[in-house]
Amino acid sequence: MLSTQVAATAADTSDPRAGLRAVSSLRSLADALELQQVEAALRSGMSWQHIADALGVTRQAVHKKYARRVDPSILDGRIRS
Amino acid sequence: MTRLTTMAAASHSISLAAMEEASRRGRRVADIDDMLLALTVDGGTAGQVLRSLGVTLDAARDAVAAQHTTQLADVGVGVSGGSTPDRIVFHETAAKYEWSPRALGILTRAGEKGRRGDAVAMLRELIDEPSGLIHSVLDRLGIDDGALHTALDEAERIPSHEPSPASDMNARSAASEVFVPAPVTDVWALLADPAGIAQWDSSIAAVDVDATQPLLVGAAWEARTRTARAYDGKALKVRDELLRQRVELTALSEGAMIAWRFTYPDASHGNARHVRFDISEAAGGTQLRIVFRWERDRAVRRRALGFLFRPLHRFVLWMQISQIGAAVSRAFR
Repeated sequence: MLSTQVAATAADTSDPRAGLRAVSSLRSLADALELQQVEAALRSGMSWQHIADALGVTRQAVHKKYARRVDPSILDGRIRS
Repeated sequence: MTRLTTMAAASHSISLAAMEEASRRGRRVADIDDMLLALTVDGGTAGQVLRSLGVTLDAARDAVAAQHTTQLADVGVGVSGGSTPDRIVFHETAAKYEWSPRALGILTRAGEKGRRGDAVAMLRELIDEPSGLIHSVLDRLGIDDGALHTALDEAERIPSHEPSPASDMNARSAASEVFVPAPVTDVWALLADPAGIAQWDSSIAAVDVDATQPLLVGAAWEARTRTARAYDGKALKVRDELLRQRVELTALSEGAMIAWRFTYPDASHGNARHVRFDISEAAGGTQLRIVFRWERDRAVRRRALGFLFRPLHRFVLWMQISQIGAAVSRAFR
């Protein structure tokens, strides 16, 4: 599993070019983590609504983003929720 | 190849390899770094130039990971434990994969008027992409942008011997060049093993292998057709007469060439398919030339209609050969 530790939130703005590219890497990492967590949540039986609540977005938003990205075998046999 | 088929073939094979790389890092969106990784296993000029400069798949994977680690460290984020799942899972699920908008932009620009839309055009666009990510990754690999452009210019001046995708008049055969990032001996071990056929022929679930049977031209094995999807076990509809296949070894040159013929012994009429692999050593791995051919039993009757279906046949042939090439390459990534 991927484990991350936020060592420090330096948020150094002295080199914005490096900072922006860092944010791009961070976004990619966050996307990978979000997908893993959404899949884990669905596997554990959580509903789309509960996942959306935990992420702080609407059910429609999380469903639109992940309904086709998650491993379809997770959704097989689930009651639509 | 016409410009359009060159573009379609390049974009399909690079897209597949890039999305496989994305799946290896636990993502469903392939970005420009995945595109670079895909280009390192390209069977054509782009891949050959990269590998000749030492940009192998493993080296590029390490450089991409190191670059992201450095960029994250710039904002105080430390990553440990590596990415997950660290192996290609693309073919194991039916999940939707897609390109990131900036990667899609590279593909679009590589295919614009005046450009060839092939893997070289993609690599040139990548080198010059504005975020600087690819520049930094190449820099880590000791590659200068200008030197890479020059190497591509020089390689493109050499006349291409790229085989036609459908050189047969009736569009019944197709050939493709594939790079496999593994030594010839390892690739040969897979391709010359009847039990390994299920790894590269998606129609076959398993080949019944008797270990005592020698690998001789003319020898045959019985195989079972796949009746369930590999990644989720869902049943596939297969007619009874197509459940059994006969796999025959039709040509063999130790370590250099092997050819297999597949037939359906229970079907009253059916098309035999031939797959031939020519294997040679290449910088950083193995170069494979794959020739796929259908042997039709009612060619005369179909000749008139065949003309109409030729583009479709070409497409189906091309899909089949690209699946075989991708599966062989994936076995070693």
